[in-house]
Amino acid sequence: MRLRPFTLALAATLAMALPASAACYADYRAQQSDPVRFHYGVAQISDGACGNPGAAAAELRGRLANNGWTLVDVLSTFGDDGLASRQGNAGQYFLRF
Amino acid sequence: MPGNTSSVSDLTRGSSRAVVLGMAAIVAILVLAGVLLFLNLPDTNEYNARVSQLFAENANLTSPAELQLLEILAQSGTVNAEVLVSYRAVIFVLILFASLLLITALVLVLALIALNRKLAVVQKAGIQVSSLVISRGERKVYINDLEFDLTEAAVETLAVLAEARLDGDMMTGVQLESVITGRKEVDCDEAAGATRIKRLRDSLGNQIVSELLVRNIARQGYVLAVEKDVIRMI
Repeated sequence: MRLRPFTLALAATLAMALPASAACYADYRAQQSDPVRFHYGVAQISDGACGNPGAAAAELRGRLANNGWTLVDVLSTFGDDGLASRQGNAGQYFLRF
Repeated sequence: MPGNTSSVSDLTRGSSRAVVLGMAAIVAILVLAGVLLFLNLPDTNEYNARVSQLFAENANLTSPAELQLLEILAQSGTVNAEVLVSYRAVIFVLILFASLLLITALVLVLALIALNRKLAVVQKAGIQVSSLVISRGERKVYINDLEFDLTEAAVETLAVLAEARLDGDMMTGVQLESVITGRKEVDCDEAAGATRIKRLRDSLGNQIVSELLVRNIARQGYVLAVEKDVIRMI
C-alpha cells in the first residue's frame, strides 16, 4: 500500500521525461498531382530516425501516402529547438501528419 | 473513227488513274498533318511535370507564398494545355474540311476535262441526238426538243427504223417496205424501201442532218444513228 504513490510518481516521471528528452522532428516537402499542390511541413519522427534523413523519409512516406500526398524530400531532422523557426513556413502542416 | 475511240478510252484510263493518285495524295497529306498535329502539341501533363521538377530540384522552396505561386503556375499550365487540346480538335476538323474540298475540286476538275473532251467529240460528230420522240398520232417527231412535222408515211418509216434500232437491228430497203406494207419480202422491192428513206430524209429537211440521223450502211441496210436510250415513242 505504501508503495503505490511511488510507482505512480515513477510512471508519471517516465511518461513525461521520455518525449521531452527524445523528441525528434523532420521538415519535409510533399506534393499532390492533378491538381498539382505542394506543401512544406514539419512532422514528428521516431527516435531511431533522428539524424538520418533516409530513415525519416521512409517513415514519412507511408504516413503522407495515407493522406494522399507524395513525399518529395526530407530536408533535415532536428530537435525541439528547431521547431519555432520552422513553424511559420510549415503553417497548417506544422506537426499535422 | 478508231483513233478517236482509242483516245477517249485512253483519257478515261488516265483520268481514273489521276483520281486514284490524287485521292491517295490528299489522304496521305491529311494523315501526315494529323500525325504531326497530335505529335507536336505537348500534352496536359507537360507543364505540371516541369513545375514538379522545379519544386523537386530547389530545396529552398519552402515558404507558403512560393509554393502557392508554383501551384498557380502549374494550374495555368494545365488550363493552357486544355486550350491547346481544343485548338488541336478545331485544326483537325479544319484539315478534314480542307481535304474534302480538295477532293471535290479534284473530281470537278477531272469531270470538267472529261466534259471538254466529250464536247470536242460532239463538235466533231456534228449532231448529237440526246432525245428522239416519235409521236405517231400527231405525225410529229421531236429531235432534241425541236419539233418536225412529217407525212404519215415518213412517220411510219421513222417508227419502223426506231423499233429496229431499239432491237439493235438494221433494215434493208426490202425489209422496210415489207414491214410497212405488210407484204412478204419476196414481193417487195429494194427501190421502194430506198424511196421511203429518201422521202423521210427529204421531209426532215436538212440533208446533212438527216444523213447523220438515218445512216446507210453499205450492203447491210439503214439504221438510226442515235443511242437506244434516247428514243421514245408516244
